[in-house]
Amino acid sequence: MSSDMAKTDNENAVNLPGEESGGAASIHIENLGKTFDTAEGTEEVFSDINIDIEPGTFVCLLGKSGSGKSTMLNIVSEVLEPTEGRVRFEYPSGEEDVTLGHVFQDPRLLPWNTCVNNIEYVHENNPNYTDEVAKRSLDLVGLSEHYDKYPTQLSGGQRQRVGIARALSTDPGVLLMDEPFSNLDEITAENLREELLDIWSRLNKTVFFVTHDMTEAIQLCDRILMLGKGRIYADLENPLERPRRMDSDEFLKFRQKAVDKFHSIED
Amino acid sequence: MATSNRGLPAISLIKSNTWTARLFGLLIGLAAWFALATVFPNDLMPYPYETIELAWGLVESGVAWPNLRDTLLRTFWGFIGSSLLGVALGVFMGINNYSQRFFTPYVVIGLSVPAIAWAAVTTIVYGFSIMAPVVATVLTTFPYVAINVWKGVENLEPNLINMSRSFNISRRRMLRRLIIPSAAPFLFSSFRFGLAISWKIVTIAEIFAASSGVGYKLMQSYQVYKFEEAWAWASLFIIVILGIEYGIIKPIERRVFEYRHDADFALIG
Repeated sequence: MSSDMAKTDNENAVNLPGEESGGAASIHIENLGKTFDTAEGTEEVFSDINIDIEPGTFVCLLGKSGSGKSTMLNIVSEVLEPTEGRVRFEYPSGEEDVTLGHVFQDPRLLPWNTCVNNIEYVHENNPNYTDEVAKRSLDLVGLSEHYDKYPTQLSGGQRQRVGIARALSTDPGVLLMDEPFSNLDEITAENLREELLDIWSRLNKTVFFVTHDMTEAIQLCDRILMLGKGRIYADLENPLERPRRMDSDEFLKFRQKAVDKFHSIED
Repeated sequence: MATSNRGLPAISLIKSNTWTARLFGLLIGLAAWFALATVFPNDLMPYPYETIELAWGLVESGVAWPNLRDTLLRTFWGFIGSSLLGVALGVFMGINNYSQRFFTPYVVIGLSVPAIAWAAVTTIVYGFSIMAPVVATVLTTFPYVAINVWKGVENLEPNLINMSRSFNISRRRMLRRLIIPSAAPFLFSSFRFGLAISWKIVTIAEIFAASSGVGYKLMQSYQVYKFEEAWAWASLFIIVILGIEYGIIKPIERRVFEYRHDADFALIG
């Protein structure tokens, strides 16, 4: 791993926030449907969606703009109510009270709070919170030197890392990510993808990752769900071994297959 | 940049140093005062140094402090009352549509009633008690504070609210950690504005309903045609207000907005 973040973790053997947790949870999307009332009448975004995601899986939801992928993520995030159906989360122990971690397209940090305080903000209901939790999470994403910095003093990539650290600090059973790298330059985004995979492989979290970028989806995910015209029209298992080289024949071949499938919805 | 290096050194110094800029501004003001004093009769508009001399005389004679203290005390309570009422209304109006519709007529009415009307009414109700100028100040100033705070809260980034909801943050914590800090620039603007209005209203109210204070002394000076003394009282209070601005408000503001980048802060500093 070439990134600063990976170096920090490997060299300092940071105590990760999820080490003593229940680990990853499964996601069960059952008969999910969503409609919106508009001036022209009722508009259906999607209906009768059924997805089961195993604990510890990295799943991408891929769709074009307006396909409803953000709406689905908002429902899974419990920010929006579904019109029909439901979403269930479950730890392997059977426990259904699963903590969700959220990473957004823009980091959504409080500009008047330091990195540590931004993380502390989301721990309102955690009686065991100390600043050590925030610091360990920041260590995890390679920001050990930036505990007391304000978001305005960080680069775009560093701000997004704080967003990831904030989500991980809650020790989530499921990590929900909404196009988290789409606002970054390609080099920074590429580094963060590698670092995210590194964290995921060590923390054992289920990741539900929304993107419109096929290459990103293939690089990151075990499974790719394609959303369009109100339904999941493709559910692809990613056969590529990790680490994945984007210039390998297997990668390019699978990418072509996925792209063909992606465009098949318009045929 | 190449262009800034080519500028005149004196201009560069004025631009580069905040205190130099403030001093330069004050000097220009004093020069304008001096120029006007040469045009108007001396008993109507004395020169700046004559005014300062007279003001110093008021301080030395012991007359200045009790009157300044009384006015400051009334201004302080008026400012506190209007800030509490204005901030509470502004926050409610910003976060709740029902409150916004409910309180908007009161704020609009409050903005349209002249300060002198409140001063007259409170004098009738409270007589020469401290309540008359304080209540008149609260009633006149709170709508300005409320409107500023309301707009500040409305300015809140919706994505931050959505983030807070995603992490199940309570409304109370959101108010304290998100809404109020987000509205802080507007709060400071309204506090500064509120303080400036408060002291003007107190002065007006003191003309009607007090036997002490800067307003009362200004009226007294006017009645005996001592306009230069009126200038001296006004100058004393201006010095006090400038002291509050640069000695209290600015340092607090600088501390609160510490998170802003230096270059960004320079825009408001």
